[in-house]
Amino acid sequence: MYFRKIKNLAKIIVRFRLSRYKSFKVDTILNFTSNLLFLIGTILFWYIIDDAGFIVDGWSYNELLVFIALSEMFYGFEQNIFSVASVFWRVIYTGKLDTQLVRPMEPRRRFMLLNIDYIGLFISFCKVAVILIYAQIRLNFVKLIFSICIIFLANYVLMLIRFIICYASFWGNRLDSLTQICDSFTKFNKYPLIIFPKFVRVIFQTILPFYFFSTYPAQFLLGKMTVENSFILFLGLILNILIWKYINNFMWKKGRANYESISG
Amino acid sequence: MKVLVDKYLVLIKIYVAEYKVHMAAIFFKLVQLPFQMFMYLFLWAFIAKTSNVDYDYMILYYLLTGMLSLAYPFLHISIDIQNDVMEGGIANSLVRPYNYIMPYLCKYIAWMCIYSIIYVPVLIGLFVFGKVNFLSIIFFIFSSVIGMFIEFMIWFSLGLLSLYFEKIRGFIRIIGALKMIVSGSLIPLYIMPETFQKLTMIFPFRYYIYIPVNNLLNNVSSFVSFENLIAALIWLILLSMFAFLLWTEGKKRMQVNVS
Repeated sequence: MYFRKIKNLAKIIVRFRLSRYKSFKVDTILNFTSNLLFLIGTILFWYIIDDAGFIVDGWSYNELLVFIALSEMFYGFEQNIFSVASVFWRVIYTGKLDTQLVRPMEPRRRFMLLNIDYIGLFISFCKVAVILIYAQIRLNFVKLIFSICIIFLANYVLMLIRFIICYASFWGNRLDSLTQICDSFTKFNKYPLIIFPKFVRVIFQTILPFYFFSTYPAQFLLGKMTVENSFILFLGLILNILIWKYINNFMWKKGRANYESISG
Repeated sequence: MKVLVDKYLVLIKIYVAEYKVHMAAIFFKLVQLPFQMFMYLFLWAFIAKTSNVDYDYMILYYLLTGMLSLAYPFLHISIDIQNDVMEGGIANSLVRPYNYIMPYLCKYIAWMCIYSIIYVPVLIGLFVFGKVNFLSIIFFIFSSVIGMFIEFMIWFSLGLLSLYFEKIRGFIRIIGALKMIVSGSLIPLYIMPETFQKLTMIFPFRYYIYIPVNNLLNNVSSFVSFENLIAALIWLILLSMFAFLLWTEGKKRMQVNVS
């Protein structure tokens, strides 16, 4: 019953998206082109680094391409599913939340589900596939699927953090700049985080999920870490999920207790 | 003329006061730069371990480019104009005693005044601790101010495209991507292959990011700096003319039903 409801919602959203694409054809084409340009920019950065003779110790150019592919996967999930959590504060701040609290689906879940861009997600998968083929590195399919799951979970943790910041609106704050702060978080996806000293990496592996955005998945996929290390780091991700899930639920309860609105 | 200037000064002051009300927004803005620098510090330190890189130059380069590129959410100028066009709010501006560009420009200048909180200390720091001469700093200030107006005119013109295409998100993203690649914010342009460097010259973005920063850090001669200033001014005039053309022609196509 629940999944049928979600399936129907997804169908409606896809139909909406398609009709939007048809209405604004030029915009759609330019959007797609700009995505490609951003990708070219990222590849160009590493190409120039390689071409200028600068060395990223332990990573060849082709391995960096695999990293870029997984980094694109991160952005794919982030932009098409999770980033919308940054604007949940508006639902709280404008008082629209109370109309959603009486609906049969949990407001945050409903908010996320209604804003998923399935077509954008599909395009992201295609881009990742093309970059991986271009990288010309033989990869293990099971490891690839596992890496993608890790990226999804890391995005989920980032979404929880975004929600927690949004809850500040329960205490009457406008959070226009929040999107920019969260964009800063996603910058930790741009470079392999092996560039950081060990203590920073440990923080990014246990308390904050940045290491799992694309560095851990790329290292795992390319066989750059032992099975033992992979498992320990995976536990780090689980720890991240538990910590942020707990804080998220706690703040949600506290915030709602403080919530006042006349919209309903 | 004096009345006109006074009027716009009042507008700028109002926007400054408005920004001051939302101090959290300013704080979040200021947090971004150290965040970005944190990444670059470690990235280039890591590369410098095994490669011949001028680490000090790179860090100062990214500090200054970050400072300039994060100065203002430029794409908001275009998005606001797009919303104005799509929701019909633009019709109000036609009956008001100032040009459509003025509120946007005043808002922009107001923010830049506030942004000088970090802009000025960085320049003083560079002068005191860096190997930068005073004349280069003066040229940097001039060229970055002209560059800021170039950047403003780019995004304002882009916004005016909504008079022709309605939704311009795609255009905004394209320009954002192009800017990232050819402005020098990704990597100093001199490191790029020569053909690519030539390609960047056909875009105005380098006059806001790469030219002021590179001239400052490399202590480029006054003559070259002056040449760059003239080129930037020409770009500014061209872009202003383009925006004027877009506005006058676009106005004729506009259809708004405001009740």
